[in-house]
Amino acid sequence: MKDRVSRYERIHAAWNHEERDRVPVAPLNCYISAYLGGISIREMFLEPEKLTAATAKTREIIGGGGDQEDPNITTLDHLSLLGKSGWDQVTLNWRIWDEFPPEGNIPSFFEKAIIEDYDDVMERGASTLFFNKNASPDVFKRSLDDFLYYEFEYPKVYAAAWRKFVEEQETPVMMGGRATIPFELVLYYRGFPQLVRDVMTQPDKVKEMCEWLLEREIVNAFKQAMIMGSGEVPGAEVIFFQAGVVGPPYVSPQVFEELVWPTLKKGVDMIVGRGFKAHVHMDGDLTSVLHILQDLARGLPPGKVLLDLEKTNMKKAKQVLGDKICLHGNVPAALLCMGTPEETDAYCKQLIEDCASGGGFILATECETPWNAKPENLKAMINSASKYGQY
Amino acid sequence: MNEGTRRILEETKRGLKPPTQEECDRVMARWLFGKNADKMMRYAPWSFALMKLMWKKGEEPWAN
Repeated sequence: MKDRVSRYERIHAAWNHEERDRVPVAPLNCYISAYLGGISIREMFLEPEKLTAATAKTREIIGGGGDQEDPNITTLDHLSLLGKSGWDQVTLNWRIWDEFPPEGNIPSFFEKAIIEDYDDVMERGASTLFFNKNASPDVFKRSLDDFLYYEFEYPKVYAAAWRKFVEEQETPVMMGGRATIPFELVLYYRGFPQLVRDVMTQPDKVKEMCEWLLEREIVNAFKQAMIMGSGEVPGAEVIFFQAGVVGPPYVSPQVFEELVWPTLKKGVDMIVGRGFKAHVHMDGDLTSVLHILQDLARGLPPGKVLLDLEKTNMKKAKQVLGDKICLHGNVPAALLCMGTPEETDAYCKQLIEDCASGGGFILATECETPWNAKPENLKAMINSASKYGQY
Repeated sequence: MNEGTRRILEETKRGLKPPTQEECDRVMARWLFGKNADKMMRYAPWSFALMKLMWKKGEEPWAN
């Protein structure tokens, strides 16, 4: 078995548009790993050894698991001093429950305008948001030692647990660090109604704010990725550069091009320029901006950029981007929750037919696997890669 | 870990140019303190006294 293709080699081949043994499959499992693995959300957030054990158990339940695993860095981001990537309980109103529904819920965000004046934040810094009157006073109830532990010590504990998981499961992590596309960060801190108004009344200021936020966001992700073991732990060199609502249909193609694209491209260039890989995760239906996205890997060495798509037409994406950017997606969340294994199998078969030719494709879920997806459907999805994806 | 995996990791490691701690600190200071970043870094650890700069005019705890 010495010459067996490893999961990491299979994923690496896809990034590089090489046809290896078969199409890799990688459902983006987040909360479902805790749910099926039998731990609470509280345990998922606070006990990394329990999270990795639950992830291993979930892999068994869904038929051996995918070719890589999401190490759920959001749990890390949520707990540190000022939060990261918009997962910030200090200045934003994120509610984290202990249990899954119906007793609790997965983390939920209640937006409000935290940034009142762009110029003031850019001039005096984000620390001023600590003292913003709209910030939740609950922050001050938490112990400072707790914040400091999650900022400085916990990432190392977390990384050690995942390093062990990677070795035991012979499965790479999907990412080592995580950053948010700046336009989405502005949305978190400004709120949807205010941002929509800003886009119409002060677009240059929004653009300037995006530029201002980018550097810290990316550098922080590098730091995370190094702690997670970039260059030593398979997959830790990948920076997950994400956003939920920065493309159509949430914003027009014109707004995307003028206000989202500049810092999206700049961020990808920064990531690849430092020798990391950019896993760009974008929700929405980006079919109407594929002509813009085809420049995402422009000027960069091959095999360094992946586009993870939600509702986008994958056949069209393959036609426009297929020879430049590795594609990742997009088995529908609704199908995984409500459909049958036969329907999932048929959907995956079509997706593989549309996207697998020439390599550069990872069969995955749209956005993330819902926490309540049916295990038998995930099993069908994983099996479909061997069934229909042989090269 | 098979030979192929090891080779990819070695190649990745050679290509990485992660930021230094000094660079991370500078970026973090710019993000936290904006135009006051240099001042905050220069006077550390006494820069705690500059916390006053973090309050917006009219919203200082001592304003009322």
